[in-house]
Amino acid sequence: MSWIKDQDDRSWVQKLCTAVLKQGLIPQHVGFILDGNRRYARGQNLQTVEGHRKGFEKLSDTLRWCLDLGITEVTVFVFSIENFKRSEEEVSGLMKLAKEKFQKLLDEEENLMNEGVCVQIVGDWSLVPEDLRILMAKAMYMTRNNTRAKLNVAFAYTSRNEITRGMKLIHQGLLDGSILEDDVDCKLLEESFYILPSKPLDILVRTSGEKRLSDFLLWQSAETVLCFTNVLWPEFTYWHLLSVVFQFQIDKRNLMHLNLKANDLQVTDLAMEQRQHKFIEKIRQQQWKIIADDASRINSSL
Amino acid sequence: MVHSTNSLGPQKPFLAQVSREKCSKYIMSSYLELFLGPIKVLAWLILHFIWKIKKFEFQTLFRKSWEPSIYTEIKTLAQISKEDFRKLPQHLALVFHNFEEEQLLKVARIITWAWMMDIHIISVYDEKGIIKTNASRMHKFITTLLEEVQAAQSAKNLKIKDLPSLKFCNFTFNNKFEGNYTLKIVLLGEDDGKQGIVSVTKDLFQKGLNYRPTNGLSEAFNNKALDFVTWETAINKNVGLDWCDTEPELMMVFGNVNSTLGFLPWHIRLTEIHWLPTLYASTCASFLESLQKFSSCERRVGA
Repeated sequence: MSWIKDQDDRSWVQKLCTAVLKQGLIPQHVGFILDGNRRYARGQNLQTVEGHRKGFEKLSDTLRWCLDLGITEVTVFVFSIENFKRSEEEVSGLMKLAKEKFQKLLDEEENLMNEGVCVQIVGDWSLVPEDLRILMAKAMYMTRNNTRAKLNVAFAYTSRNEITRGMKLIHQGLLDGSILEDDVDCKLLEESFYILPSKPLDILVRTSGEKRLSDFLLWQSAETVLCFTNVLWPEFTYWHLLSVVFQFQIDKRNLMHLNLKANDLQVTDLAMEQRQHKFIEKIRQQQWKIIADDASRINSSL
Repeated sequence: MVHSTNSLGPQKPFLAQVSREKCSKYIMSSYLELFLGPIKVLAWLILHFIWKIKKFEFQTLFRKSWEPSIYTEIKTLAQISKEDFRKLPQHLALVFHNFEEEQLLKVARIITWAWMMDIHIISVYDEKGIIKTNASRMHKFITTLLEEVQAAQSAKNLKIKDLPSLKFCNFTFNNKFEGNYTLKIVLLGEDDGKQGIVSVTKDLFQKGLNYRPTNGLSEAFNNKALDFVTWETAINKNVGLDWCDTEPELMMVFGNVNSTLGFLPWHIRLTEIHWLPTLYASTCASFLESLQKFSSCERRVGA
């Protein structure tokens, strides 16, 4: 199963409804918590890993739908740091599935380059097994120059871990003099989370009826629209995605006037902006070097 | 030699035909779009209009909520058996969208409802920080409501609940009541959310610079690599939650909007989030319904 489905198999009714919704704002960055795979598997009398496979198939459909709708950036919560607490059998099954899917991603290099999709893995790479880390590094390195669409895969991720790592990087920057105290603001902290620049999150979707964020994108979703839907992830349909877009259009109007200081355009001086930019470039280059080294090891590991 | 009057030459008619076909298809699709365009816009407007009608709250039109007396509400809440709820949150977060100063009393009532349901830690937030700015008025309103409850208990010879000591965690006020337990209220504004985390980063850097073995700061600040516990403790202290072991277990967002509006992003990783009507349209019934839904949910933490 490919990461992004090849064909557009929407019906004419779905295309018509899409055309109507496109008269309003379409979210540019959508986050998904893919919840409900295990419950789906139990309901269908399948093994848990099979439920996760079905979940991956649904992800493939959803990424195609997002491309067709004009959603250019998608972040998906695939594996939490908390999930390491699951049974050894399930965790090793998930790692094996992840390795299979990332290998598939590399095999689809031509398709990804044609579609112009850039892949970024967000999470604590130090917790990922080495063989999987090499595949993830290769996928990121291979697609780094694509600009048409972006897929952020949250693997070995929790938001608090992300925020803490960002705070530690800035703390180190303050200690070694790369930045000054006045340079530290919300925008700088958020940029320190990512190796590649990311658009602001527009809407966060969680399936399966749970009404929690479960340590996913806590910072990024602070002022965005949240959508909790009862459907289990493997049963998510195009209609559910259209209702997500509709929800965004309604709530975005309510949030337009949100006057949070973090988003205010404050007067900054050029020297400060340059220091901030240089600092972010420096930490990204350091991270890219590690990724490039890991990516180059792929041939020796195969 | 005969020169052709057709400027495209003898091999070009086929190309001309293909170009004409493409051109006419393009013109047809443009006319179709010209016709369908306004219909799509109209359909979109109708869809949003129907949704607005469905969600309309007449109370916001009159900017007033019709409520029974606090005594009636307290009497109703006192009659509810807590055993009907499988679980109740120890720490409740109340978040208000488009908050206005004249709604302070309503917030005080909601806090009183929470107190009646044995919820003794309440965080209160609005995106403009109006409630935090009016902390003394909030204290006055809650004290007045608790006095009314006390008066009702005496006048009607009714035992409702022992009154608590009232504590505002980031402010100091004189307490009128000396109860054997404390109702703790944390007032929060926009500076406590993302900006609070940024402030902590700067503050820990300063503490590290100023660390001396004799100035009472923890040894942790002397270390270049601060550990997770130090970061978390500092973030909690910054918002006035350093004494609290629990993060909000339930968040009620009032305002008919599906967003957390910037409320303490660090503290809501496992918080159940419920959307409630605007303050004008919210009642004790909608508050209880939210608690009922919370009591029936399961919390699975990753495993």
